[in-house]
Amino acid sequence: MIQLLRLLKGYISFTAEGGFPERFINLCNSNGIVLWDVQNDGVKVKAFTTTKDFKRINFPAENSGMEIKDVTEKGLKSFINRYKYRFGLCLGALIAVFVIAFLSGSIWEIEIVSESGVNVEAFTESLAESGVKKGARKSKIDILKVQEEMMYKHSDLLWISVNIFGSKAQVEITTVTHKKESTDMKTPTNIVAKKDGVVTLVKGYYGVNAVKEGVNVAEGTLLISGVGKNADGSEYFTHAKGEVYAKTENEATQAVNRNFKGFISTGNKSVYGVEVFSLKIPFGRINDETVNSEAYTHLKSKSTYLPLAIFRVDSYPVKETEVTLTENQSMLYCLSQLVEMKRGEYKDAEIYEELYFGETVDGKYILNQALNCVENIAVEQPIMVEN
Amino acid sequence: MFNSLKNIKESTESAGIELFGNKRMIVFDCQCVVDYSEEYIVLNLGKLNLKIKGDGLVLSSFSFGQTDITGDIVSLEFERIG
Repeated sequence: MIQLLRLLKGYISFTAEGGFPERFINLCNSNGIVLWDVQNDGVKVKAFTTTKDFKRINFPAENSGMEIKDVTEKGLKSFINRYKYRFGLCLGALIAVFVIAFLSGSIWEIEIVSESGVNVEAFTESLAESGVKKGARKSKIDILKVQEEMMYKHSDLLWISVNIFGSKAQVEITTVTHKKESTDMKTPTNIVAKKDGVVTLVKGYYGVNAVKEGVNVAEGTLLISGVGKNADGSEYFTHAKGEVYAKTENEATQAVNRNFKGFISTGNKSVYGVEVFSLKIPFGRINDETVNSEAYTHLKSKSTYLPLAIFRVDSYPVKETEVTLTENQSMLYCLSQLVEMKRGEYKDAEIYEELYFGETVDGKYILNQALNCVENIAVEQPIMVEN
Repeated sequence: MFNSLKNIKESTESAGIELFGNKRMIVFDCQCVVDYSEEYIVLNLGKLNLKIKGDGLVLSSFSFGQTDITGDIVSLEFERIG
């Protein structure tokens, strides 16, 4: 505390040589001059005193035959005096203080913590609407209100907690875990074929099997019946359940115009920029219509993301031109579409034969696909029962 | 022993000494500094002189009759004046 006061009020370090150090110290004391950290190495005395007392030090020095040397003024006052004409430094220090004060009061990073796995982007957007976003003033955030708004906006939200740690907003979220919908086993149903095929395997769980392996079935044929007979001859209804695998033949067609007006990329254009909080400052013109990708590199200090990022926007300017596809290009396009469709529709099927045939008809390339596979053709069909 | 202590008390009147290990000591009601170097400091306590021997002795503060001495204090010695 004393050190701090001395630093604020300012003090002087000096050395005194020759004469009688003891007499000098005693005279200083008797004249009310405060000395501290007095060191005598046999040749000279090094000591500290206040700026105010130093003005009266000549009297004890002269009377003890000491010569005052190496006078250095220290403390806040001398520091200010030293730099008082260096306006740039003062301005810089002032700006630094304001910037630090501003940054300390802002949100730099938003972290969403959830064990149940949530759509982070959607929640981030929703939080931003409620005022919790990068660059938002901490004092303006009403945590209780934000939590209330979020609960209102997201019906699947079970619990939310917004915590502000320094410049980081940590949002803890717990969402409702959706239970798998239970199968309605009360409604009586039949199992019928959803497409033509030759039955290879019947797995009936509930109901009465209506077909056997090796039987040809057409679309809509009853495979497993939901109507059974009791021992006394009376009938009962049940929710038929099972899997019926059959060899099926499937066809699909994909066509593409070989001549059309399209957009061709004229090259790649990258624009770099800086993002401060949510403010983007690009170093070039960005055409939003042709933007293809954005990449961000956030500056990080240990585990904290700083509110500063360098971003790169890659855009691909295009121009409309007459496009003529070669047969190979057309085939590849159609093939990619059909393969994509196959991945979705036949993901559980076992494909044992796959044939493609392509031809150009009237400027159109048509690719025909034939898929022979073994798949589950069972589909539930409710039984209409009169009450 | 008791007599000598009594004599010291009478001689130094209200002077007091506080020791903090051998690194720091405070002497109250010191009249003046008689001799001073890094190896020893002699303080006047009225009718007695106190000689503090040690190494790297520093007068941390010397004001209003209170003397604060820091350094490696090795011994204290009292000397009668006159």
